[in-house]
Amino acid sequence: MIYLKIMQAHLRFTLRRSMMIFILFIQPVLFVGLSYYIYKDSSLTDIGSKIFIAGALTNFWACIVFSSISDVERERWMGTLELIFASPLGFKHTQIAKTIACLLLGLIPAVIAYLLILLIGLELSFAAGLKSLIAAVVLIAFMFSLSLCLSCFFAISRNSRVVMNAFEYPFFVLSGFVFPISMLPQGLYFLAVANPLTYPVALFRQAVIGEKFYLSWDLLLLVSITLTSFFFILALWLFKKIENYVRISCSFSLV
Amino acid sequence: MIRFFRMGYYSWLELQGHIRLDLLLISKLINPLFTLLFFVYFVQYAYPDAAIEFLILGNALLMSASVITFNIASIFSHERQAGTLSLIIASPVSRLLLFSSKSIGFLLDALLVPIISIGCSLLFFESLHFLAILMSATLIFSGIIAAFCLGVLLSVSILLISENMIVTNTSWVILVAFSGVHIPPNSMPELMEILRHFLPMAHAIDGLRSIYSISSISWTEALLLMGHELLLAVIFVVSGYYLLAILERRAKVTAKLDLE
Repeated sequence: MIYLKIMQAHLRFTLRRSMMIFILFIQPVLFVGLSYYIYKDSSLTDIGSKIFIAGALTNFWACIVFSSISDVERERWMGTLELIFASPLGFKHTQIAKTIACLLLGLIPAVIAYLLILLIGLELSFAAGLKSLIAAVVLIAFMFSLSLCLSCFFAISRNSRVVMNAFEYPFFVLSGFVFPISMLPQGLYFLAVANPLTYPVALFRQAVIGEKFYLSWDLLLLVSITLTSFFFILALWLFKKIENYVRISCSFSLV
Repeated sequence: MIRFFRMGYYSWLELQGHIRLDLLLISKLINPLFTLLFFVYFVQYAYPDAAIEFLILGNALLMSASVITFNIASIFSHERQAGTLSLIIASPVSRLLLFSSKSIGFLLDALLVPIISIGCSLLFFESLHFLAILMSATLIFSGIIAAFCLGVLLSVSILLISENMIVTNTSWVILVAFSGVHIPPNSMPELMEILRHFLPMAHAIDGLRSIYSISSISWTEALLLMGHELLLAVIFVVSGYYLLAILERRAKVTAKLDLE
């Protein structure tokens, strides 16, 4: 019940921020429009699905970064981060509830992108229905785990605002949100392969548009689930560590 | 003169308060470079044969627009947030001088971004022709000046509303979409193609496209395109100056110096 209340409060608060209004409602429209005009005269096939993947994933990630992660920074500046830590519920449970709310918000741009693509009259030919659904669930679960880990990192960072921006375009490039990582030059390709976000994204791309990756779909699924579990366990460990660090160092909000 | 540049430095520092070297690298090198790479590969995915030189130079120009729309356009709204806008409006100093000094740091910043991006991307160029590079550089410079002047107009316009994030983000995406780097002008809807001529950088990008994608252009044609950019720059600055004068008068009449 308390989770629902936190989620409700977080949703209300987030929807009052102009940046989030832009990310949730304006950016998907602009991005789908831009992608459509870039792709429409190209030789690419199944452009509806490709625009959907690009629009949904980039905005979903932006929503995670600018809502879930920047939320910690906002709490710090508002002076409420200490209260969250001191509350009986604690930082971990509050952050889990907020992250779930952010994930729900992140689905709004995907729905907008889907509707716009249908409105334009493009086809969305999901290569494998059930596989697409499984890949979407795994991708969302991975984003949830990763977001929890990042919120721990940002809780003790004093430079979240600057670092946060570096989480947008570098990850768009190195995770294959819009184009396959095989297009990248060798140096960047190795970085992309080392990037854990690449695997659930590749799983989703392979399920939706049948794009080839250096791992088969079954192996990708296994790797993605393993990474999701790893980041979730890491997040739980980090929450504990940060709780101790904050109490011992006593320098939590001294920005 | 020292005061002029000192104010520019403080203004830059206020918005770019992350002067630690690692953070400076993130915001001035890694982020612009990856933004550039993102848009280059975005287009190359659809058009594998697209001229890479044009994509790099065009996107480098857009990176400058990003610095301008997100920083210069926010100068006045940041003053309002900090509670210093009233003091600026009440001071007898020339508005033009004041704004120039506050934005000089960002103009240099905006000029630095394409230089760094182009420097890092030189490996992609198949051959370097001095005249083509010189013509590209002058076109890019005229585009940056026009974008800078749009930033001045935006900065004043933002005072009319309370939120600046939506305006700055939307402006940047519109500049990207209408610029013609990613969507060739002949693939745009008619209205979009007409409107882009009233936006900065479109003519400079048309010039760059002619140099690297279609055929070479003469210096006269290039100078005409630069002239278009500079004309737009003058229109934006004059409009911004008069809009600020109107807002100042309104602020004095309603006794609200922070123009809210």
